[in-house]
Amino acid sequence: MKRTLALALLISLPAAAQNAEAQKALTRFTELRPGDDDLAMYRLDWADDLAEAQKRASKEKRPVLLVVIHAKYGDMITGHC
Amino acid sequence: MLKEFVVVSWHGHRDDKDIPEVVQEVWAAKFKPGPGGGQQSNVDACVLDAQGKLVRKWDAMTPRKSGGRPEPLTGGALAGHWRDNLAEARKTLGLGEPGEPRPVKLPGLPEGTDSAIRVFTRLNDKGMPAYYAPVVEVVPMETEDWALLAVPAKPAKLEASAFLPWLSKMFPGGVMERTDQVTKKVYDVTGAKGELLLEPAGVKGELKFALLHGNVTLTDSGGGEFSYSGELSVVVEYRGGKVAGLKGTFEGRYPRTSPQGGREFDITGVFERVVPAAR
Repeated sequence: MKRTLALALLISLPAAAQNAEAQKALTRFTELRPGDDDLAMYRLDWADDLAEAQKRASKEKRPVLLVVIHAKYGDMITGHC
Repeated sequence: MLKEFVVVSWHGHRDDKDIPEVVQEVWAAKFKPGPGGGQQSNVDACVLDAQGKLVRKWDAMTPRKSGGRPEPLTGGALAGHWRDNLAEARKTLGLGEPGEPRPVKLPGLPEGTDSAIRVFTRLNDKGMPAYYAPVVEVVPMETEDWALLAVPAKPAKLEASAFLPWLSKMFPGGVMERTDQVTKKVYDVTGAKGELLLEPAGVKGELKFALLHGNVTLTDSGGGEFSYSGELSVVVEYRGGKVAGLKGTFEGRYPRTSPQGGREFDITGVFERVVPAAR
């Protein structure tokens, strides 16, 4: 009986490449990885610095949005400041 | 509303040398003595035309008066403040109705690198939703860095410090109490402690998998008693004996201090391998 049940389970479950712990870790990765809505600032066309932004704006005839931060350090592109 | 724009940030102090002309123009108005002085945030936004001429400027978080006490705008009011100013700038520039936004394009591989680990970090501070916006860092990886994660034949113990280059990028942005009070520079994460286990975690065809897991404690260059800990779980995928993929998480608690006392918040890190996009 037990053997039949085990065989039935084996057939009904899809073959997982990873063991249970790794599967759990991958599920958690999917749950925690930020989605596009959370990463909306990466929809913007960022330039590395003001000189590059103005050079591109002039060449491509586009406006510039400049964010000015009164602080010694900060990196808007990564978010670390 | 920003599809047509090149976007950039600049930071500095009023006593810095070589402040760009446009910043001087913005700050000349911002710091002009008069009514409203002292009620501004430290962030301004401005729109320039293609020739670099200032079209519109605004305080990024204009304080509003609530019972006489100025407070920064938040949530929908803050978004509305930006929308209104951008709409005016668009009108001045003759841009018409905004089109569909661009697709998300995350920071990719730095020039001259073949692979990297991308790190997303979030601090779940309900009182400060900005901390929940993910910080995204990309850490270049060399062959010897991947060799630390070589496919294990049996469970192997590894020190968390071996993975400091990418673990060290997992700290929240804007945490002022972890900033050097003299230089104003954010402390670097300089220590990773904990015994991790890298163990085989399955096979599928020519693919092999391993799981790297364990508790990690991180410390920074600010010293003192400060540290934060959490559980690291990383699945490594191998093809032909070489690392072909990596997906992982860190779930821990991050202590913050304020004049009102200390509190801990959930911190999450997410890690993924980055390789050149297929052509």
